[in-house]
Amino acid sequence: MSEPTVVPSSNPLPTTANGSSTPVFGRGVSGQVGGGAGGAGGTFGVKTGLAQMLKGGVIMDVMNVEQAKIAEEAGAAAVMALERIPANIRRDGGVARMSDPGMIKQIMEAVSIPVMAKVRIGHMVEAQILQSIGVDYIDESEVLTPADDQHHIGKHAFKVPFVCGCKNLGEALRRISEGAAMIRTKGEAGTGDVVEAVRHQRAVMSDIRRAASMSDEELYAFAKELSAPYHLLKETARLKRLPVVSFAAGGVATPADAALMMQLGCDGVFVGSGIFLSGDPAKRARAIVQAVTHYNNPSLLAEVSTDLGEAMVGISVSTEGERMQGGRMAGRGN
Amino acid sequence: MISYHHLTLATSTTMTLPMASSSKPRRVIIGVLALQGAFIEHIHYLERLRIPNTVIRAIPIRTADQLESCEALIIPGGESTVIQSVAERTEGLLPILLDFVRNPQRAVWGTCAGMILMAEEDGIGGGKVIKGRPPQKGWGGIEGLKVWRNLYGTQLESFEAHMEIPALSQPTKPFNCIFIRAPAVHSLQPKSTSVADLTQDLHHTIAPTETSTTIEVLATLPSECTPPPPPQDSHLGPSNHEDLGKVMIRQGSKLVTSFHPELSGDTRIHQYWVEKCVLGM
Repeated sequence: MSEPTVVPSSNPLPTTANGSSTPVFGRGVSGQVGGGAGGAGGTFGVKTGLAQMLKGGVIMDVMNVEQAKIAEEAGAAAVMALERIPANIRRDGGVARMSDPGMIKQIMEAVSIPVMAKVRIGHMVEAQILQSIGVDYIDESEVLTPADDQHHIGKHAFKVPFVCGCKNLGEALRRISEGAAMIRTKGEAGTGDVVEAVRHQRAVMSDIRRAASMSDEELYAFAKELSAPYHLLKETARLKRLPVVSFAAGGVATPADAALMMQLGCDGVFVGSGIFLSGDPAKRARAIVQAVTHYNNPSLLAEVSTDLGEAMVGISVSTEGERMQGGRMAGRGN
Repeated sequence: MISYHHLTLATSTTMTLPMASSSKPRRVIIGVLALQGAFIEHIHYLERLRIPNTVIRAIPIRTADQLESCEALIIPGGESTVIQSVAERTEGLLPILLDFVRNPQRAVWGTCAGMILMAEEDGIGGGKVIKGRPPQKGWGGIEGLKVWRNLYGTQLESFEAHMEIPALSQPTKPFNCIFIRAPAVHSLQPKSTSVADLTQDLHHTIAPTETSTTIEVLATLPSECTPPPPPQDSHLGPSNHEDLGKVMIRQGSKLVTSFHPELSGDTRIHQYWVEKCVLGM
């Protein structure tokens, strides 16, 4: 939390091999503004910039317009529009895919905060579809059934920014290298058990602390060990944090869980099944929003944690393990 | 033990040196509202400023007590609805915050979401109407300022533009202005004061008696970059086309920017605000 996130400014994107998604320049500015290079949309600075604005906030999974309005009213910084929250995806089994664009558009029309939506890992056409309907952020998510077990989407080619999950530093830097403008822990979605998100966040921070104390020679070797690009590892070591905004996700169910992830160094929190599977979603949502702002204030956390009604029942990842319905999602994509 | 002692001595000596060289430095505590959004960047930018004979301390503000210790305040970018609702739900904070923002003696700067909140009380348009909730209320930092949320559009319309801002130091060096789902000025209609456009004429002079209330326009996007006008039948009334592209506005100790100087890598707007609005230099 103590270091600024670097936003490489005015960094024109490489032209993409796929002609259909060549970055398009923004609102009409072309060399006319001031004496500079003009205004450009879809730059990495603009993509990471929105993530900066979400910091200290809560991004909530919503399945319909009513839930989206409850989330906005409760103080969500953004909503994730999806047909089934992760706990239901586990329950139902089968293949989980991108949600109906019509449903996502309804939610975009209902709220004024940013709207995100999920695509399957490696499914660039789902991402092209979401970009064309104008979502604010795409989550290339292990919660959906992967479409490609070898490759992630080449995200620099898109004008819309992406968030991706990670279990450790190497995975985070590979995603950033592919163009992710925001990172989140994978955690174990749909369980209500925060243990995996904690494990992933601690793994990332621990590797960052190791990298920060290394010489250049050691960094080259460490980059090889992590299978991560050297220049991104070097930048991470210099900043002593990931070079993009990083959120917690996967298993956050209570205000205390959210504050825990903030104290472990996350910039904000995604809450999926935890809100709308609880006894009083609006109250729990408000409480988690307060907890993310006041994460270092135990007496305030006690106040907002009081009388919240039932939390989601959840699945204990350590006792259920591989037998749990839907299996471990965090293992998808690497 | 000995080396530790030396270290302490050395540190305290260096710290007192600048003070000894001139009169007692002015100490300023600047708060950055830290309820949600990009507040840490503002703190780091303020810490990077070097203003002669001035010691700046920047602190995050989450409670009423913390705010009361400050002379000046930045309301950062983020989601204005979140900042508003967390402020309402944090005991005792909102009334103190409103007094602070409306007090002409207090320097306040709002960026993006912060600019939305600096609008006059009935001066925010563009949010979705939620049943049972009145329209979002501005905090009234700048008289006659009405703002439209996300007028530039969704994230796909977010952009960067390099602009020359004559009021800044090195005025011909373009400033990289990053607009993220940015709000726009809907109209600027102060009842009791005038509006001066300083984007063209740096030498425009404002009579000393007017300086605290005159609205100064410090940066305007060229016409081809200005957003489309918002609906004209909202509770804000018709918008003023000429105002839509105004992206940096000052009224006395108050400043608003619809873009994000805290993401630009350039501290000149922070320097401008601290020198002109906070210190009155």
